[in-house]
Amino acid sequence: MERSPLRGLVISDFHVGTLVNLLVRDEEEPRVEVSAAPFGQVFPTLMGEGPGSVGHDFALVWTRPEGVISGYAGVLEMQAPPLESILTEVDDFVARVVAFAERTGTVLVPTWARDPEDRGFGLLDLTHPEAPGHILRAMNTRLLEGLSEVPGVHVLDAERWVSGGDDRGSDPRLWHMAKVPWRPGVYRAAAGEVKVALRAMTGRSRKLLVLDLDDTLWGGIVGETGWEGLRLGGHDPVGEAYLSFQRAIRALSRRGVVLGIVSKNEERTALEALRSHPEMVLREEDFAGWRINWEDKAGNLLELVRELNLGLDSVVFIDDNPVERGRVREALPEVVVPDWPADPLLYAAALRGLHWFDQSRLSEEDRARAQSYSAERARRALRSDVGSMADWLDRLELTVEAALLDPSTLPRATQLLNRTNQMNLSTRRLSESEMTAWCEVPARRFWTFRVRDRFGDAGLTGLASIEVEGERARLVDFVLSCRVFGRQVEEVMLAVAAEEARARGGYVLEAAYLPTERNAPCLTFLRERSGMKEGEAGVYRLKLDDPIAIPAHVKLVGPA
Amino acid sequence: MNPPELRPQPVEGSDESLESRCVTAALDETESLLPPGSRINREPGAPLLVPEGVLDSFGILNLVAALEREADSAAGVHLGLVEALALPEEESPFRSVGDLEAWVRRRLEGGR
Repeated sequence: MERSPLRGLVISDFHVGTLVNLLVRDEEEPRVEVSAAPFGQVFPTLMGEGPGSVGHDFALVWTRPEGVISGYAGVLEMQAPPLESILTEVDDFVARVVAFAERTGTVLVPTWARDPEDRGFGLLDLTHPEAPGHILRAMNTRLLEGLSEVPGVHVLDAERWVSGGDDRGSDPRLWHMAKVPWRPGVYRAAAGEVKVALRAMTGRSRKLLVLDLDDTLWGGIVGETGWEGLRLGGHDPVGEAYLSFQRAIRALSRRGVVLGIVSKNEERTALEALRSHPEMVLREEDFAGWRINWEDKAGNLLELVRELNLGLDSVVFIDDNPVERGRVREALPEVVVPDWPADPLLYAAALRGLHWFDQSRLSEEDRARAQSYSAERARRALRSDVGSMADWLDRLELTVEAALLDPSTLPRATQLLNRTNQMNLSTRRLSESEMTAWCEVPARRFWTFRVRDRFGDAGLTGLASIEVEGERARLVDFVLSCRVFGRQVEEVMLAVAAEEARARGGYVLEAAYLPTERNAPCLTFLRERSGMKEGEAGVYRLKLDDPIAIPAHVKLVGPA
Repeated sequence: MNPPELRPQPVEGSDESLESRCVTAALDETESLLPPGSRINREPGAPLLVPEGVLDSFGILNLVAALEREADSAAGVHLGLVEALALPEEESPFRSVGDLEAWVRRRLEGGR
């Protein structure tokens, strides 16, 4: 679905015209419309004064340390006040950013940086109590401590922007002529990172990493040498590099990235290598699925993505072979296929440099996602063993835990709301602060649903919200992760929402289905399993005469 | 107009003169920082400045900084373009791409 451009505001104590232009020029999703707050009006804008300080989707508050912390300006002139007084100023700045974020939602705050060529106190710069390097680190630490847990606020590492290579650092000419402290390369890096952050915050992070095997996950052709002949580990720089690459992949997996394989090989031979090679870091159980055969890789990738209930726009595909990369790029343009180094010694670094998996939060559900997909493979295996769907559901020992949204579940609930496309009634996207504000109205209820079964805990995977007006209740959000599709969790969520609506005097529950390119599964549920009657303009209605039964195979816990 | 006695200085291994290469690189960079859809007309006589051209005061400053970096890096020459910003319009090197190249050529020759 084409989404409207995000509206952004850049608040700064320096001229940001170049950054604004670069952000607007960038055609990668999400598209943005950006304006700059009045030059140098950082504090008035944060306090809500002046034009343009409201009515945007995100703000970037990028300042020079000497521009907003007067004590640091003194440091640069060898007149440093006590560190505690400087840090008190930092606390004040943090408090203003927090108050601004509470009013406006998403705020990005780059750390304070200085020209990498500035040697400060030289040898003493990191240790002397009056040295700019020492004090700037303390200020940034305080900034991070103050902002890292604030909903909707994300701190970005500007140090990387200013010192990342050619065309970075400061240009005193630009500063003296135009109050532009940084060279254009810094603004290019900043614009790129802001877009990455916005992608993560709006649910566009990639979730699935699909890998080739021969000369990608390991060195050599397993079909020719057998697993014993592969280059992996050992006293061999190439073998060590493949080991490092696998470790980097495993680290990503522990951050919630699901792994898959698409490889031209004999499946039996390839799986034997995963199981048997003594130095293999990634094993069969680390992969949510695979297509290992001699068919076209693009077709295999498509099948695998469907099996995992994900979209092509959630995939990154890595293959050492440029021909295969070209084929997948051409056939499946939604898949990210990064250029890949020819030298395997560079593989791990190339993977760590990819920004496509950046997340705005790291939840317990993210950490457990890989195991969750492995458990799903086990469920599929059980399903093929038992006869009927009812038998399979009975043997799952499914528990659904319903609870009202609270501060502890807010980050994960926001992530789920903004990332879920398929089982999503309205595809409403909200920031944490917007969600909190929405729930403050007494006529509204917002639930989270945790799902677990005998194979594992899928975590917080469902959301539902209602708004009651007299005898009519409206189902506003109805969201379920694809990881728990097909177990009648949807029926449980609807029953919880309907029961609350009934208890509040509702006579009918209405669900307005807003179609997107991706949420057909929600329509199928409404039509075939919800018990609701289709009305005009995609509105489904459920009379609330009697309680809705919970499916017999589900144990419902809560809501309180 | 270019003074007739000045001839473009070819760059070793290239048909392009040094001043032309510096100006082209600086214009490329400046253009990449402009609002979406803005293009700098590279014809020698095309005006650079708004309203006929696309460079506003901020665009000109980006061009000055980029050109100083290019000249410094390619020939170790300080062009002194900041001072040129204050010149009266009829003497300004920023009237057109051709004027700018001629001005840079003179400065490069003076600096060598």
